[in-house]
Amino acid sequence: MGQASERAVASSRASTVREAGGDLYSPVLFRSPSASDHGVGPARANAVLALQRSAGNRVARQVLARDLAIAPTVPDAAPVTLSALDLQRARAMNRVLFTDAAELRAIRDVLGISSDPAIVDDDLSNAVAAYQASYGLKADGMIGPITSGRLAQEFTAESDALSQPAIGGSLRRTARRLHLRAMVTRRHGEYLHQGFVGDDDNPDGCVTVRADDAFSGSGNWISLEYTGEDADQVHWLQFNASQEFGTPPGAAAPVFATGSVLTSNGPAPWSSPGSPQQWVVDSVQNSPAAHPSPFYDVSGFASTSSHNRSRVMLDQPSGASIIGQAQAFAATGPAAGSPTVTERDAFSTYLVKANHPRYRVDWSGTTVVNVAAGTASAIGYRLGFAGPVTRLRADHRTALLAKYPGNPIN
Amino acid sequence: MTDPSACAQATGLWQVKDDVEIDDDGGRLALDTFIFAFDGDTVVLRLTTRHAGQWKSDDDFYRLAAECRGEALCIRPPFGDWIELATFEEGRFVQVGSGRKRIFERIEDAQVAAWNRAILIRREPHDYRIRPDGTLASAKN
Repeated sequence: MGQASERAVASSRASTVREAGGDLYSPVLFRSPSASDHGVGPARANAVLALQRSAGNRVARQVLARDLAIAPTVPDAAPVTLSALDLQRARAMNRVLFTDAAELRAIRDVLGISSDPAIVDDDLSNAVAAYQASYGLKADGMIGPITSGRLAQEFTAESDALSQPAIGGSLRRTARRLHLRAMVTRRHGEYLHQGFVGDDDNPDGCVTVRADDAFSGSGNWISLEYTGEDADQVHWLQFNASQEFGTPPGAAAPVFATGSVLTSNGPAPWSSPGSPQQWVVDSVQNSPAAHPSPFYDVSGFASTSSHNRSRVMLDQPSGASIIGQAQAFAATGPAAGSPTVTERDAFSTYLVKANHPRYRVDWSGTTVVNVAAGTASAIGYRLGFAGPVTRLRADHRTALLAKYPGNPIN
Repeated sequence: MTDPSACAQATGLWQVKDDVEIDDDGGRLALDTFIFAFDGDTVVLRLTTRHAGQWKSDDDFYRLAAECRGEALCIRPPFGDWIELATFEEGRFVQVGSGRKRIFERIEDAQVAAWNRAILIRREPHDYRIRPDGTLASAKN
């Protein structure tokens, strides 16, 4: 396929690109073969196949990769030189987001660099930056939502030009994943994780976890976002188990709180080492009173949603509200005199659709209170297991039924 | 035996004085309440809010509905069911649970620690129509 025909493809594909507040994503990709793939008909596909037959698939792929199916909007973009810090940042972010070798191989190939080794490295960052510059995007080497959206269009165009089936194959798979990444709405903070829900070839949605997100006028939030066309049908279900401990003067080991902390939702049990985690459903049982729901986002906790695109739950566990509680812990009893008190909150957060868990993210937030000063540190977030699941863990199921008897989620 | 009316008459400011180990806690979990004020109808105390996105009072203190059920002083948290806060016995409140007995003593305003001074501020009773997101529930709810 020559450049002229590539540009014809670009022009035709432009109508499917939606620009919304700086976002770039295609609202419908690969769910079904489209009859409106303007201009990418059998004749053009046959031409590509003829080229492949005459020159070999590898050569054809290289031609596509170098020329790109969608013409650059800034064809004469100045060369981009990323600084060492830029490269470090790009590597760090891309390594969190891109852990799938097949996807990396496909992206590297389309960007015109060697597909092997299929890793995140400076070659990838530089190639991404050059690609970004060619389309008037911020050339930082990071494959964030906007760049993912542009790349998704590119992969779609190439797949269409090759008349590939709507589902399956490296290009379609990568396009779908990039498309779901492009639907992410959160923009602040640091990526901790991104993974996919559903079939590997054609996932339903994407789960993105960020620390230091900003919400409601403050920072230091964690956000878990689901993006997918079925976002209206999913909810977040969160379980929490917390520890509080301090080390009094002269003590060799920390003293852990026992019993429960009195919260505005009622008592919440403390967990301690050597005993099973005291999981509780992170929801407000009686609100709204007529429709109690175990779901975090329904319960009245911080959340956002975007119709058929995104459902986000945000959390900022503990924080300043625990200062008085920590001071009380250090004022009397076995922990009396502890100069600092640490609260460590463990969470297991499920993405649930139609009463079926589809994904679980285990994470924790740790806050250290200076007892004398009455100050709390910023929350330190850590990620544990994150990936697809099909059931609730047994201890989580027990906690769910204890608070919501007969609940069908399992 | 404690006079059933003793709890209702035990108004004042109560703060933990002793925390001792016990053998029989009745299988209960202890609460971490350190100080509370009881006026016969309401209790003022500090509550922790575990999520920054949830509505809370400005200073984490609340004036909650309270009632004595026999010896037990019960309160209703903003977003939870009635719970037993403490039991009145031998002239003072105690909390039993988690292998410990926490014994409260009645204190004067001047004895309140600096980090708990907000308990002395006059405040309106909590409005239980407030939802976790800060909106008000309608009368139907």
